[in-house]
Amino acid sequence: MKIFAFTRAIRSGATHFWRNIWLSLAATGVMVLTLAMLSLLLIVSILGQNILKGIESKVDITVFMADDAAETAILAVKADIEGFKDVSNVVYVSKDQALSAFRDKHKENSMIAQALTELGSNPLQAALVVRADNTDAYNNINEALKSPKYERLIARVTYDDNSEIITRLSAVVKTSRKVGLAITFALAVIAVLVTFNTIRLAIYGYHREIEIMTLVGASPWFIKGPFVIEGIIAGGVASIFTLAFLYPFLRVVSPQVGAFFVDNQFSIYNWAMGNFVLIIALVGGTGVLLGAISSIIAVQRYLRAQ
Amino acid sequence: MDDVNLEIQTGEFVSIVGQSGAGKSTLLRLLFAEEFPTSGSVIIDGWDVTAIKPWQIPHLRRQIGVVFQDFKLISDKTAFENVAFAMEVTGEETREIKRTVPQLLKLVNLTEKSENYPWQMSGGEQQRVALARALAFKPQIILADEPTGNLDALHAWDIIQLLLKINKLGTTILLASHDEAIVNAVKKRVVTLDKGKVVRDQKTGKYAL
Repeated sequence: MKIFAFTRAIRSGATHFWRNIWLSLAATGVMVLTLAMLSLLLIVSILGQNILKGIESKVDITVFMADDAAETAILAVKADIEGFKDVSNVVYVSKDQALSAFRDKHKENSMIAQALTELGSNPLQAALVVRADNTDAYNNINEALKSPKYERLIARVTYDDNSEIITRLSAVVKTSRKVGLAITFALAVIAVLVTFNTIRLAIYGYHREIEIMTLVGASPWFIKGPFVIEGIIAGGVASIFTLAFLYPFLRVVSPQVGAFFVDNQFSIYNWAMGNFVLIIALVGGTGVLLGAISSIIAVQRYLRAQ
Repeated sequence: MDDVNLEIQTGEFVSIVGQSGAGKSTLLRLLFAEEFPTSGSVIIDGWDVTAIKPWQIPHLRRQIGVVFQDFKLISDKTAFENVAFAMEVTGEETREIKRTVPQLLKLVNLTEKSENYPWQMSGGEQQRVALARALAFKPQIILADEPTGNLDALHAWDIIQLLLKINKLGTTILLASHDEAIVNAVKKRVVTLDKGKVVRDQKTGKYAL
C-alpha cells in the first residue's frame, strides 16, 4: 500500500507539473534565478577569499641579522622561527644574495654600482624573510624575536616599521570577511524567500483542490506527496538549467577576474572544475530541498485551514 | 444545532428539510467530522465521531460518501481521475481501480465523458461524477448536501433517481434539501429542521414548514 502511494505521488506530481506547464516553468524560472544567485554568491566569496589571501601573502617581516652572526647561528634562528605558531615559511637571504639582488634592482643606476665597488666590502645584512598564515600572527612573531636569546644575533626587525600598516591591513581583511559573509547570507535569505513565495502562490491556486482531497478522505501525506514531487521536479530542472548556465559563465569570466591575481594565478574556472561534484551536489541539493520544503510548508497551510 | 436526537437505521433513505440556515448542512457536517458539537455525541456504526482523533478523520471519510451542492470536483483531473482519486486514497490496487471506475461511470451514465475535465461538463454531469466518486468507497452511508441545488429540474431528478437506485442496493442515504417537489416525490422518511431543532419526523413525510 505504501508503494502504491509512492508511485502514485510520483505519477500524479509529474502529470500535474506537465498539465500546468506554464505555472511550473514560471516557478522553475524563479528557482533558476535563486540558484544562479546562490552560485554567484559562492563564486564571489571564493574569489574574495582568494583576493584577501593574495593580499595577506604580500605581507611579510624581514629579520636583519647582525653583521657578525655566523651562518650556522642564523640557520638556527631560522629553525626556531619556523617552529613559531602560524609561521608559514621562512626564507634565508645571505649577504651575497642580498647584494646580488640589490645590484640587480639598481643596475640602471651607475652611481650606486660605482659606490658599491668603491666601498669594497658588502654593506648589506643577511636576513630572514618570515611569512605567516595570517596577519595577526606578525605581532606575536615580533614579540618572540625580542627574546634576549636573539639579542646579539638580530640587528633589526622590519615589523616595527610596518606594524601600523600590517595591523590596519589585518583589520581590513577581517572586516571584509565579516561584511562579505553578512551580505552573502542576506542575499541568500532573500533569494530563498522569493522562491518560497513563488511556490506558495502556485499552490495557493490549488487550495480548493486540497480541501476537496481532505473531504474525500485523503490523508495529509497523500495530498502533500504529489506537490512535493512537483517541487522536486521544479528544483531538479532548475538545477540543470543553473549548472548549464554556470559552465559557460565561468569559462568566460574566469580569465577576466584572473587579473586580480597577479601573483598566485588563481583561476575560478579551474577551482570549479576541481570541485564540480561539490558544486553539482550543492546546486542540485539546494534546488531539490528548496522545492520540496517550500511545497510541504505551502500545502500544510491549506491542510490546517480546513 | 440544539437538542437534536436522531436515529437512522441502516438502509434508510432520509430527507432532511428546512429553510436555509435551519441546520441541514451542519447536521451532515457533524457526521463526517467537518464540524464538532459543543456537547453530545455522533455515533456512526458504533464509532463515536465526536471523540475522533485528527489522524482518524481520513479513515472515517473513506467510509462515508459525500455529495455537495457545488460538486467539489478536482478541476485539473478528468472524470475518470476524480473517481479514481477516491479509490487511490484508500490504497486500492491500480488494476482494481481500472476495473471499478468505468463501472461506476457507467452506473451514472457518463462512460463517454470519462476523459472530460469538470469544466467540459454540465452541472448535472459534474454532479453525477461526484456521485460516482462518493460510491467509489463502497460506502455504507451517502450524505447528499443539497445535491440538486445548482441543477435544473430535469437533471435534479436524474440525481434523485440515482440516489434512490443506490438506496435500493442497501446504502443508507441522507439527503438534505429544500426542494419541495423533490422531497415530495421521494416519498420516504422526512426530518424537518427549524432553527437547529427537529420539529417533525415522519415515516413517509411531505415537505411542509
